[in-house]
Amino acid sequence: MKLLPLQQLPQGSRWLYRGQNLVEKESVIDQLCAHANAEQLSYGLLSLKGALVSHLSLAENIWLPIGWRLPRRLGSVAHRARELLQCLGYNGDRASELLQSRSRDLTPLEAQAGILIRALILEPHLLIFDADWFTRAQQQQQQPWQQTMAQLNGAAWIVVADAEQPLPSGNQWTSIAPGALLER
Amino acid sequence: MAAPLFKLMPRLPALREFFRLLYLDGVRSVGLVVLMAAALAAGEVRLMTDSLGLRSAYSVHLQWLVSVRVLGPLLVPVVFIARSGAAIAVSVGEMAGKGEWRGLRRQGINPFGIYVLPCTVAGSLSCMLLLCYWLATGVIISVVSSPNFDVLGELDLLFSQINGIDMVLALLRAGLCGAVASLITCWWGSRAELNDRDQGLSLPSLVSEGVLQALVAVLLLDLLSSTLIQPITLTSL
Repeated sequence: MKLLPLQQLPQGSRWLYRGQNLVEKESVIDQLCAHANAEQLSYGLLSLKGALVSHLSLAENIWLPIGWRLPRRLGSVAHRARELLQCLGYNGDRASELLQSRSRDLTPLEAQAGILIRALILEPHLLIFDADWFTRAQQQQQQPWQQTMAQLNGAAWIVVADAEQPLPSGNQWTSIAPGALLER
Repeated sequence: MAAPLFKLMPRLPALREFFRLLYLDGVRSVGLVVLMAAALAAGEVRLMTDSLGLRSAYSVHLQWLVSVRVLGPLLVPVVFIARSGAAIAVSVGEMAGKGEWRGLRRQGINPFGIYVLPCTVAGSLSCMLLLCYWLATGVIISVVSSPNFDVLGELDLLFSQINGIDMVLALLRAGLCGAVASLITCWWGSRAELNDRDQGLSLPSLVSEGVLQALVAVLLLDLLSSTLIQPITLTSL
């Protein structure tokens, strides 16, 4: 099976690529992001490793991919991020505090919330997941997370896993054959 | 030339990083630079007056020439590397090693614009600032430490003989060395990104290699630039 050009992936479709090892997985995510960039596609990246720049605040990390391309002010992005953090269960003061914190001072769960919010604000056509995103399944079963993640259901999802990672449950996944991403 | 730089630089985090580095490298290094410049200036003037028997005013002028043409543009980047080179390489290395550079590229953001460019511009301006402190300290200490303590007379003579071309060339040399040193230490730090591909590159070895190569580059650059600009400074005497 060959993968369609990313722009033509049907809305709400679910794709899974299982690489042989960690190196292949990382390389495939790199390629997908490069393709999405080349197609000027609106996409979100949900990956835990290296997703936030440690010396920037969470607000700046959320703003960065948006402000890099579009003339959006940090203040307006931070305001929207605060609303979304409240949807995830952080009250107003705590949400403001989190947005001002450097990302290296955040707990893994808070960092994950920030990454999710960044994807939501981008209003993506495509979501690229590193399978390690689903390792906190217990937390993600909670209602606020479920409701917030549901806002991303309309986008096409591509999950990239290595050979040993468990698959996320609850979706009908279409497997992408190894090498398919290179044959565009 | 300025347009592509402007496209890369005016991002808020990049600007903040630029001012942070400028403060760390160009302002907080004042004490070290002033101390070194003062010690060297006092020693030079003493040597020239006591051992060589030169007149005070002539010694002050000679000290100025040595500072602006030889020692200042060479030693200021060396101080910059000693104080900030390892910090820059570690900072870049940590970001790259934790996968943050890869994460930025995946989001379509150039890490060069976020960190390397602000760091290079800040390094260049810092060296220029440090050179100004160095020269000012040298003048003050050489005047104060000369045996015939005639401040106004010596300063008057000195300022009448100061050549603007010397100052501009010294600032350009220091700025260039600062930029090159920053780029080299950033590049060595960024190689920590290869760690996750089992290349066996540890951050401490990358940092020491980066600092060493930056020092060698500054020495070579100083040799090259002083050779190239020698005809200009000699004709301006």
